[in-house]
Amino acid sequence: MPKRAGRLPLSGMVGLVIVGVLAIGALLGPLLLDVDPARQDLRGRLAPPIWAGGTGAHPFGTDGLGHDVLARVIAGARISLLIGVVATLAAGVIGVTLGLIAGATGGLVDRIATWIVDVQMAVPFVVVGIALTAALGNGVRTVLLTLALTGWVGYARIVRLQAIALRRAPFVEAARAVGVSPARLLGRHLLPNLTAPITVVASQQVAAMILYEAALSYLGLGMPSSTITWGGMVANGQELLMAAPWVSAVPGAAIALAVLGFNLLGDGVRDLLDPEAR
Amino acid sequence: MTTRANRFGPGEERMVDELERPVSRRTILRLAGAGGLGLALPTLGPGGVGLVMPAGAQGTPGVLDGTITIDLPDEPKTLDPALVYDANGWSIVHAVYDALVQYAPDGTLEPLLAESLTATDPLTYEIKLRQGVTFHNGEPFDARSVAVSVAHLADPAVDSQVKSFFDETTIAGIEEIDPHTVRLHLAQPAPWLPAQMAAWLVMLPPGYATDSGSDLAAQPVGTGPFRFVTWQRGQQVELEANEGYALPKGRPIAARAVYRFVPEGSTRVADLLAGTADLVRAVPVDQISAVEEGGAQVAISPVSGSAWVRIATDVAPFSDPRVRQALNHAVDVDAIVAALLGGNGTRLANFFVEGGLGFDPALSAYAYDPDRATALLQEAGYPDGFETTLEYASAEHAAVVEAIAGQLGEVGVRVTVQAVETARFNETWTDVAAAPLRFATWRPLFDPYTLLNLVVAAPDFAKGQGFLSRHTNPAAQALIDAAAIETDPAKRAETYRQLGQVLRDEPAAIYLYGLTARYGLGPDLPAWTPRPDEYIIPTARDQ
Repeated sequence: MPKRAGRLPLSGMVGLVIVGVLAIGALLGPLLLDVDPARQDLRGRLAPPIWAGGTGAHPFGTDGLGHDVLARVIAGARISLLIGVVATLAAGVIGVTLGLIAGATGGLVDRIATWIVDVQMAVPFVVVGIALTAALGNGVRTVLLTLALTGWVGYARIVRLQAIALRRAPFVEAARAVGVSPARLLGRHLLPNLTAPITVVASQQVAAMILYEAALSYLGLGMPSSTITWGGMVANGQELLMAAPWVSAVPGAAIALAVLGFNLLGDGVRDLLDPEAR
Repeated sequence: MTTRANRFGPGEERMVDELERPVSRRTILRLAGAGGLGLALPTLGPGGVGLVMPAGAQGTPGVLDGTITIDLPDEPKTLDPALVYDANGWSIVHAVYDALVQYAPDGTLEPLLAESLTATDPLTYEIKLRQGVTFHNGEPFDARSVAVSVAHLADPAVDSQVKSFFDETTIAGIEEIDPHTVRLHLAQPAPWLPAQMAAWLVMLPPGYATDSGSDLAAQPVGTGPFRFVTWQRGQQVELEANEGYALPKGRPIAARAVYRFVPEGSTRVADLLAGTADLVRAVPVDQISAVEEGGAQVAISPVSGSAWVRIATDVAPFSDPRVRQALNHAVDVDAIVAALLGGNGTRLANFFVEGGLGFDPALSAYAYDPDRATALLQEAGYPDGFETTLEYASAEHAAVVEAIAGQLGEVGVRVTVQAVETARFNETWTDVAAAPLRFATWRPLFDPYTLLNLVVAAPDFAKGQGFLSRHTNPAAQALIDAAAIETDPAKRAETYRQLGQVLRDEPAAIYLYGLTARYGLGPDLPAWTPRPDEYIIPTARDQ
């Protein structure tokens, strides 16, 4: 085993700070900012943000129905981060399980698993989103299921390759020789050796999940319209792009920032756990 | 442009602002209307509509060239005139077909394919037909066409929503006196019939309409200012000018007319500014300045129509009139009009609009009063409000619908908003399990008979009556029935005014505002006459 680098590289630190700020904002924002994101104020609609001549009452301006954009971005952060993390975990469980079984077992099982991966990769995630929204209706459940069912492929492929590589490793052969059960072999002997690649994939998947959630909400799939999401905010501001660009731009920037933060953090984690990949 | 707040201030201020600017590129079409007598129906609002003259318009009558491209927000499912129920479909239908009568720009009913329409007694209309008119396929227009057209609307196999207005319960017989005179014998007095004729009873060519090989849904043939060429589903309908057309609808202003279907408001505006569309419907209010800065114009034109939220009055809690009153008190229509409609529109006390029968300027609309709404809900047994669903079909109204939902939320009525595809929206009116609240617009409303029959009258689904709100109100029903057979126009108007009071006090809907149209006009659009019924037909009337 190569010697592990002790600390997160600078870019990773930057990512960690961005993610930390977003997480704190999502968790504590409602305490710091006493504005109801669902409160309408028609007469105060399209107030400009502070950098375009607005006042401190609405630092990021208001949207077409007079909602405070800052309060809504914070409310949207909760949904985006929650879904990003939970969907990554759910997809991880599916992908790791399938990849591990396929890689360690080989043969027909492996061929079937590989075939499922190929089929899944051929189906665009929007199609899955449309199908699940039609079947289950709008809701967090639909979005999580869509993302879990389309996001597991990345894990499965990496874990499978690693498991194949480890299948002939002396400690695995030894375990098998002394009669360790297949389940125990996977769980106690193979899995711990795969934590590094899984962690790397997962840390990068969070960013992708946030982006996919935003795309689904933008298309009107997944979340009901009453739920405040970044993607939904971008979509709502679309008709106002000429008159009030901030309505779309602020949540758009939030998406970009979150994705950047998680990507930097993901790269940092990869460098930390797998210095050879640098 | 930094003081946006002023721009979207209260409506009256905005109108003043418009009037004080001596040179405005926007054309506000509120001309003082001199109501012609026509068929003794009321005139449209304070104004009526007139010819629009875009900056680049060159009024060269008689010379037809070029193509005019029109962006509509929605595509009709069919072009069968008995089965088209919205202004987008009617625009194409009434460009291809002519009815016997139509509404003039000042809101009066005027003869079109008829030369005259006279009630010789309460049970007889005598119609003299215009001579020398031919259909686009060469068939002559005569008395047979009237009989065939009435039969098509009344045909149970066609299944029109307005079948009962034209079947034997209304028109007992059609007598051809000579090829250009017909008498309609009525089963009972029907003073509302001429208004229905303007919207529905377009003249079909008798040979084509009765030939089983014809396709009225996809290949319309009429006498109108434009002749049908092709329909590329999902994209566009193409028409060509009927040269020599000389009826009061006005002369065609282009050699070809292309109606395209563009649901997104910003896309319609982009088309207009790029020059790929010459005339677009429903310019989003927030893009009016972008349109004007881009060298095009916005014409704001009065429409005889109203916007309201349908309430399914046969399901709890909406069966309680106090709940419906509470909903009316909870919606701040003035704020919606000022903020989301650019100040165009006034709060209504009921369905009826200025210039239409039944409108009573003395009747006050529900005041915005959330406290009163909360009290009424409490009285009705809903101190904590309730949850419900509000549906809408047209993206054009999304912001208004969201605003209404937000305002109802303030008094504890927690509303889930759902956008529904137009076809599904129209199929589920009678579905008790569907969303009880639905955003609706209704035009034309010169004569409210259709609306009353479909929305307020006691539900009778077999007759196609009362199915839109499923409303039961014996007092309203008595007045609807009395007005339907009242041949004295003044008494009929008075009955509708009384009905208006009943509908205000015990609301059948959440009453919102009178409609206005916001047309985007490209720089190359020739002079064009918008219509108070909001059909977009590329013709110009000489004034």
